[in-house]
Amino acid sequence: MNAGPAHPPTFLRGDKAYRRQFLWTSVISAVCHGALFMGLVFSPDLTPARRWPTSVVNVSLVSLPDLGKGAALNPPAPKEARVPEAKKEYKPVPKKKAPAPDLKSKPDTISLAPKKKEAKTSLKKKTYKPDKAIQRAVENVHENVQEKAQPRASDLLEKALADLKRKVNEGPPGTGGGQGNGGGGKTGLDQMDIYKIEIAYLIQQNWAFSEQMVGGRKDLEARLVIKILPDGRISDMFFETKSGNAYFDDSVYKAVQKSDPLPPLPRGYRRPSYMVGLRFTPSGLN
Amino acid sequence: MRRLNPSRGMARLLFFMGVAVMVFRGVAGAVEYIDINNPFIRKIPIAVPFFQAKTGTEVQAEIAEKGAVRLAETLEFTGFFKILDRAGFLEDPQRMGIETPQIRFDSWTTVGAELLVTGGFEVLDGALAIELRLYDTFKGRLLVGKRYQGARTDLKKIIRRFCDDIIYTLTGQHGIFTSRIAFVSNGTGNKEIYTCDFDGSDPKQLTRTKAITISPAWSLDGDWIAYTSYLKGKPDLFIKNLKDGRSHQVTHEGLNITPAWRPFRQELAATLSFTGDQEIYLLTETGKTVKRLTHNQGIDVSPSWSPDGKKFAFVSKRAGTPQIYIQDVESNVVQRVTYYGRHNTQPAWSPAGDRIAYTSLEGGETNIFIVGIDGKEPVQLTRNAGDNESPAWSPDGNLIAFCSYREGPARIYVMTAFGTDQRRLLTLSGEQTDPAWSPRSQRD
Amino acid sequence: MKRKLWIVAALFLVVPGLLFTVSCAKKKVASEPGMMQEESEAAKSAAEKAREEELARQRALEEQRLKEAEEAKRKMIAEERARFENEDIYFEFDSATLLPMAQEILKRKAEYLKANPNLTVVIEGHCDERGTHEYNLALGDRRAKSAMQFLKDLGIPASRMVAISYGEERPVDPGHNEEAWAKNRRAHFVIQ
Repeated sequence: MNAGPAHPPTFLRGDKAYRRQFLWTSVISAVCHGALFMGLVFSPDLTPARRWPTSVVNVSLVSLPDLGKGAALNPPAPKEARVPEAKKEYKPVPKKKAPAPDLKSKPDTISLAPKKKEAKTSLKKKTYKPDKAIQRAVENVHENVQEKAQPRASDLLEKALADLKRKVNEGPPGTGGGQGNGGGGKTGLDQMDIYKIEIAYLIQQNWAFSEQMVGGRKDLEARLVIKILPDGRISDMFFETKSGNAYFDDSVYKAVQKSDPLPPLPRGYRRPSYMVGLRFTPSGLN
Repeated sequence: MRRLNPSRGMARLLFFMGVAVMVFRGVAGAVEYIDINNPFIRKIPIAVPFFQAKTGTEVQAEIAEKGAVRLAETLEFTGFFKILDRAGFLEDPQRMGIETPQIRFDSWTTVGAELLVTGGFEVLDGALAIELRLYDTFKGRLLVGKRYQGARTDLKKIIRRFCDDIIYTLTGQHGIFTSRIAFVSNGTGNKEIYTCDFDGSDPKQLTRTKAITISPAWSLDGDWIAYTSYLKGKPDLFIKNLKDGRSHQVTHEGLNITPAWRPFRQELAATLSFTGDQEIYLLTETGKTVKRLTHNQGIDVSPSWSPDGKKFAFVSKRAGTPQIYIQDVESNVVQRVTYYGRHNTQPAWSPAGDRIAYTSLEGGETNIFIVGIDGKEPVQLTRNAGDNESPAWSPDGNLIAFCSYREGPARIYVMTAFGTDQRRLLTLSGEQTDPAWSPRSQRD
Repeated sequence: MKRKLWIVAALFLVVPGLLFTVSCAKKKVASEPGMMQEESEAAKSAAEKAREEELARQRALEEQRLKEAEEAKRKMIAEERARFENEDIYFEFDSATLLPMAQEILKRKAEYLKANPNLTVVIEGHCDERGTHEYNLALGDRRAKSAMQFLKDLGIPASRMVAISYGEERPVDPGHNEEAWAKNRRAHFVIQ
């Protein structure tokens, strides 16, 4: 169809386009070469990441837990049944101001109240005695986790459980229950290395960060310094540098808060506290 | 910063004591650093306990549960949130505090919630009064609280409004909860245009042409919809006002297809072929030709406007294979965007303006990709799940609706702009294709 | 052959009749001359009648022959038309270029259109399912138009042709393999 009169003009235009294209290609080629060399010289680990068919975030990891809305909604059924019961029992539901404890007398409340308290103390004050409560809290989370079918979360849980048990027993800190990485090494050095891996893992597991929230930015970085007491409590935490993105900074702060208390410092560590910096970047998202 | 110096001193001390550094990459060298760069949870954990009825009846128990469930589902749809399982909660939703001094925030942080939504409501003579609040559980702070009054049937609307407030509070941007999605379904035996809510609910048939009717496109105000139909035996453009029923047609000889409304102007771009060549033209809403936009022997099709309406992306075969290009309307300067792959079509310019989603046919598989408008770093969003095509951005740019054949028949799916959370939007009889996401409704 | 047979058969009927009348007449002539004349006239009219009958018969024969020929012709026209409409031309993937085979078919179609100058034709452009709907609509349009251009170059006026693209909307083979795709990448011709 193009054989007719349409042909010559396209050809001419093509000629011009060729010349321009050639120029462009040379320029682009030169720039690319330059960039490539610069890249190789300054950050060799950058180049592979920039290859053409970049793959997006690991889809399966994220979509695994929530198979559908229904899945998340069905499990609480037993709980749902309990709620109306409770309501029947207290008809004069207190107004906003009247707090629930005033009326506490029914079994539900009793089971709930201590749970709350222990959870609180375990987070902030660090009391070891009520190990039952800790157990229960852990079980609670455990159930939660199992329902959501998060394989890695349950790993974390085992670990957290081991940590908790260790704390409760006040026993010698057998080097990293979950890690089990060369328990023989009794020098402070080895123990600290393992300890750092351990806390990094714990904090990472508690770090909830939605990349959507920051529009997929990868250039964010925040540094947080924490002071850990021998029993694992975090006695001090502050930003050394913030990312400038309030949501990102918040998310890392919360991650550390959620991880408090950390496992106790290794026995061999004889200082009154351990100060360490945490550097958060969302780069792992990709 | 005041505390910085002693801390550094301490760190230095530790350093000189000979403490080995495992992941030592601190630039300042003051404190040893542990790198943490892989957030385990990629969403914001939010707790949405059942709402609290101020006076208890059967009906209200239903609102308490359904309202909370609906609110949670609506939030979950955005892809921002991880809805925490209510079975793990430590608080009784009917007796817990739902306002600041009474809320025991630690019992929410313990279950991992970073945000908490509480609801309290009462029903009086069929009228519903509901208070909804969003809290930051770690800071123990109210982020947004609203009181709504309306008929009981307004619950859905109230919840969507509050969800919009939540999104606005967290992101500074309005949500998508007033938007709708147009699509094509052939359930009647013919391809016709349908619309549904952003979450797939409330599907309605829009056209009854009894002919092939495809390619719906929304105007920026959401009042107009344009589409291609074979109503007269060949592909013509139909432009329809959804509010007052006005309609216009573009029925030139040859093709009249792929309409795309230009932002901020009542104009649209579309491909016409009355000259014998498929070129993109600028048309008024009444279908009159303003000017010809592309000048190239060969296929030029599927325009998609930049958010400012100054440029448009389109498909052209000028380089031998269909690829995505960008053209400036004023200067007519054309720039190629896609280089990877031999069959790239269906460009969709992101609402933020920085990226273009498109469909690529490669190795016998059709998948959705995203690329910067500078053509850098194309990223594949769908893979190993049948053919996926027709990307359409949500008005906030966080979600992409698309058409997938992963179940066999074509269905409309939604995913985040990062390719995560891929899920089916709705199921109707027949096959569904060609999603088009409306802008937010200004009135709702 | 048939005609000859008929004539022979007719002669068999007519000749004995004539012989009979002649022989009778002779007898009558001998006895009654007046009668004889009458009789000869009667014989004449009978011969006339026979002749007419024979002519009518021949006319009927002729008509039937014509009818048959016409029918055959009509059948041939219908066949030609069917061939015109059923014979699609095929394309390669993502291409609107006319293959040599397609050009041969189009030449035959041009001849047909020339022989039937009052016909107008709709050229439908179709695609396989690969690639996306919108692009395939444009590609189908290109296919239909390249066929149309070829016919135009062979002298068929453009006013007798209409190109309509159906993209991938109307596959002849709903399969998802190369065999089906090859059948679907086509231009189809419909006489209006």
